[in-house]
Amino acid sequence: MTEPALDIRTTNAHREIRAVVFACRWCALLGADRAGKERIDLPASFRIIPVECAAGVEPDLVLRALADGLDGVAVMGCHLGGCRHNEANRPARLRLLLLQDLLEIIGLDRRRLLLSWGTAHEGYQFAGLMREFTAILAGLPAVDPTLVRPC
Amino acid sequence: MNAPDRSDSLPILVVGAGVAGLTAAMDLAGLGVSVHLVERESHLGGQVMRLDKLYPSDHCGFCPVWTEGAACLSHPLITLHRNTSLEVLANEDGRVIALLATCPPAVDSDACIFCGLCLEACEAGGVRGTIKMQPAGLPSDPATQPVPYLNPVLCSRCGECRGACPTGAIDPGRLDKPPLEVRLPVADVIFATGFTERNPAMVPEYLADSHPDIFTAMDFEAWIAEAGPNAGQISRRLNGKTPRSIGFIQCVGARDQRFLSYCSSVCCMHALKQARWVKRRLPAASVAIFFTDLRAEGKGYEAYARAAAMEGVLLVRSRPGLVFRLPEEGGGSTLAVHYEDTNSRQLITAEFDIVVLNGGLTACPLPGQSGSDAGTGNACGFCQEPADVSRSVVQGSRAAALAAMRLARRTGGGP
Amino acid sequence: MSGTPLVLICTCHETLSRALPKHALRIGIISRMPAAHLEFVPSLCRQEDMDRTAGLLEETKHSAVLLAACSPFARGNKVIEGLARSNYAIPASLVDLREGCAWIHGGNPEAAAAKAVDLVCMGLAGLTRRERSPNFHVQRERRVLVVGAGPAGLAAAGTLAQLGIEVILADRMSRQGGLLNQIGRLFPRNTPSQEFLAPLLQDAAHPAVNFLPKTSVTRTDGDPGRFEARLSCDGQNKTVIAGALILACGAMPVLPENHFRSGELSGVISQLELETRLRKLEGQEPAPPGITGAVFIQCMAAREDARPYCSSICCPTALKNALRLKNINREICVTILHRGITTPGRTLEELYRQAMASGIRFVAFSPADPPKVRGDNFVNAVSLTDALSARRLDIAADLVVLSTPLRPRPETASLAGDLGLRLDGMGFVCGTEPMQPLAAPLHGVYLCGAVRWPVSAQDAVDQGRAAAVKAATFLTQGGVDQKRLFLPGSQSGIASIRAEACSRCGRCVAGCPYGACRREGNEVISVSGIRCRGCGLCAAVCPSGAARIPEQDSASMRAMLREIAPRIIQ
Repeated sequence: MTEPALDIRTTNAHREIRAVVFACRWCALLGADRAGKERIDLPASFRIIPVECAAGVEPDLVLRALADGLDGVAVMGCHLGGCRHNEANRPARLRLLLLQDLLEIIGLDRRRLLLSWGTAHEGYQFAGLMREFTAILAGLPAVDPTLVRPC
Repeated sequence: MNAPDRSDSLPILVVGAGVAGLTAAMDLAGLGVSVHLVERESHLGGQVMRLDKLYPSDHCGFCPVWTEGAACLSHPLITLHRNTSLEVLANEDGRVIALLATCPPAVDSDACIFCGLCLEACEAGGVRGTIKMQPAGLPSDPATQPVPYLNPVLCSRCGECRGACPTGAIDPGRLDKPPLEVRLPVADVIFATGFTERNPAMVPEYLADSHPDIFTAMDFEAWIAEAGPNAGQISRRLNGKTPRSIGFIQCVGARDQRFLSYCSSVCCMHALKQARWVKRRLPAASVAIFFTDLRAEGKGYEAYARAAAMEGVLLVRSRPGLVFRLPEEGGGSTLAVHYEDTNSRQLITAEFDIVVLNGGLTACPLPGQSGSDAGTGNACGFCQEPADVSRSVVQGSRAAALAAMRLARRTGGGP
Repeated sequence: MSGTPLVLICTCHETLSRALPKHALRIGIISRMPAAHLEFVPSLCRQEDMDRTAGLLEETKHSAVLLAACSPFARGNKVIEGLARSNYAIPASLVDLREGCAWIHGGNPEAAAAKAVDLVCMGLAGLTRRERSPNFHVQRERRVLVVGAGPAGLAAAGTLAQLGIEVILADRMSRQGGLLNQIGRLFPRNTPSQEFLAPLLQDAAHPAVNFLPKTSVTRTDGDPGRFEARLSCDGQNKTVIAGALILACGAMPVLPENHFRSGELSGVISQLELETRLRKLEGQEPAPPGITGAVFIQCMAAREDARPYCSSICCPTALKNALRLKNINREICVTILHRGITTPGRTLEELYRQAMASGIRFVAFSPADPPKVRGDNFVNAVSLTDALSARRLDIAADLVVLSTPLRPRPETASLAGDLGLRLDGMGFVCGTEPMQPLAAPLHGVYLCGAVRWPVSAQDAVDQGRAAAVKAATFLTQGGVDQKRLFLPGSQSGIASIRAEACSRCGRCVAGCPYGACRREGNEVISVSGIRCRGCGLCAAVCPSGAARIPEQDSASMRAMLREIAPRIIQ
């Protein structure tokens, strides 16, 4: 049983989209900061939680975020090969890709977990990602609480 | 056991806060030696900070350099003099005195909080366009504070900005003040003044000034930068359209008896980096590098060059004889490169929408010295010998090592 | 945690209050966090502001402080660090209301204000649950083990000794000098290698340097600041303690194995063999008869699929040796067959031009059509297709010299493995490019010379000195509170593992980028506080939640999520 992919145009435009972004304190947060310095206008749907490294983002936390009713979770780390913690983002990426598969298996749209491995300049790219992410989440219904329940 | 306090002994002067100079300063400070770091520009990181990507990692140049720069800024043993040049190094009674001249910029980047009130005040009362919130020419510099840039030519000196600024950071009055001079006795000097790109217009056959789509390497970097004026999109400067073909010409004004006889060592890899980047963004574009000898001897460089070839970058051994304009249908013009393909020995004229000219990187001159044997300064980085980032930072550490060893011999002990 | 948290919201000289009205923030925050004490200040980042803040905290004895201000990359980090350095340092956290809120949501002030309230409440929720890793004092042994006494190792040892640091210099061979002992003269200025080595040998003869010949390193254990290296010499083992390690083990030349018929014909030799011959020839007056035509072939067994790299020094070496042949006897016809002469920079280009001026001929060939060496028993000619003119050439030669690359030594891999050092695709050891090419990701481990990549003798010496200074700065910081050594703005802590929950599965051991998580037999996994850099990978992979970093604990993360979640499941 998977969620029907709704056409964005038929969405209830009044539903407020809420997403959390785990951004590593290095490249990812710098990219977001850059968007701020450029004063690029963005939807206010996301809240950033800085982390030391994307490798430290626990899959359990992602599931809890969705269980708590957040529409989506983004995990942003450094460019592959550019991780400050000796390539720790590589296993992190593999783990999170697996988590995307898991989401699909339990019936959630895998696009609710956004992964991005960018570099510090990319303020425009961060902005583009956030807009796209918000639009995708707006096209999905609220997370069904029966699909994700802590035990 | 803490690092010994050396505040009573003379500091070491490091001239230039590019990657070599930053490394030398940080290494010396790490050994407990006081350092005065002098930088002509207002930003740290020199040329590397201006690079959107580095080879062979294809990552931003900014992040690792910024870490070193930030550490430098906050290190208690490093005194940073920005917007400062070393005028003269004099020898007085056996002591080495450095004469520094600081032109305090209109905007003090330490006091500025980037609130933008100056911009509002200027637009209301001053000359439009005088203040820009982003500095020109530094795509790769998000976190070393994009202080407002005050154009000294347009500025009417009305002072509206100064009135609006809550911290006193901006003052157009500083534009017209004479430089502040500082006399600094130093124990030793390390030169790390880096390089500049020469204007390729000196090479007549490439007509560098004649067409907006002929770039130097650094110009092109700024043009296609992710955080640049086109947000990472690659377009023709002439008409904003997507380029169909891009050509890189190496050894422009270099390895050439008319101009510089030596090799700048970094341009081949730099062209490969930009070529691969273009190919990633525009897979349909035709990308060619015209080289004399493809220098890819560093760690991982040959593999990088092979990857470029596999990705469809054409590597043509040739030194083109002419670059000229070709009128285009519908107005405007594109460029043509006339060359001999030395593999096939054919003379070919190929069209390119963009041409990037690489070469002719010259060391910045070492500031003047007067008096006999003014200090035992040593040079590191590109100003001493053309070098890439890895080599430059190694040379910076080496210069720090030699300076520290000299200091140890003089004081009869280690740090 | 007793006491109320203080929330200081910077209005950035009132510029932020326009986008984020104070009353909206106050109402929003107090309604969700009634216990918080909220204050708006015009500025936080000037020295006087930071002094005032520290004074305020000391006076009012708040338990924690949340700073809501601009981005950490603007002035935020400066404020946090200033607080950490002050006398009254309490748990503090920063939220970015400017670059992260006001400046990106200017078009929607209501949403911006709501987000600002969320960010502050999230920050508080995380802050009040966040714990602190214990501080600890780090002692660093003021001694460096330098592995390898070639030019890089000698320079490293000599530099360290001059800087007042004890050195153990180990080499597999019985004498110092490495590969330079087999080379007569060095480019670019034809310096006799013994002349080049002399000052290095002298510096390394410093009383602070303990040279151990015929010694190899079999294993390394321990942590940065106190490594334990097992050394083996003539079957005898001993362990030395060193605060830092410098790998200077060098590389080895690839030797021709019947490439270009070197196995069957006399007169087809490697550059290394040429060195021996040149030394003999250079010592003699007048030059003996024998060589009339010499041909150098570049890129033997290099820049090909099996070994896809350029060994960087073979072209300058060929130029130097070609010039030496010309110096011995100007009549010798010397030709260099190449695939592009690699002489980057100023000095090496000059060497190239010098070679051209001396009458040395250069002919380019294509790797698809390599030169063929001709002769029976003795070489007499080399034939090839000139890649530039497409003409077939026959060059008379009684000496053919093959330029071969340097390759990593086999023992490098295990030494690197012990220390968690990466090897590149060719087997050379990697540092942390681009700004720390000679430093391993693990603190206290450095590399220099050909173990990293083929280099000239002068570059090896320069790298040796550079690695030495890096090691010296590392040791100079000994005794300092470990927390201060983290990068500015970094608030990560040190991982710890709860014994009662650890299932000993070992996932953290396998994943830790620094080798900090360790297993000792059947014991619970332990974390080396010295190695840990707080990335959090262990916490993320631990199936039982035993591994955690107090500052980034999932409990505080969950509390932060609850602040922004539309629906909370109890």
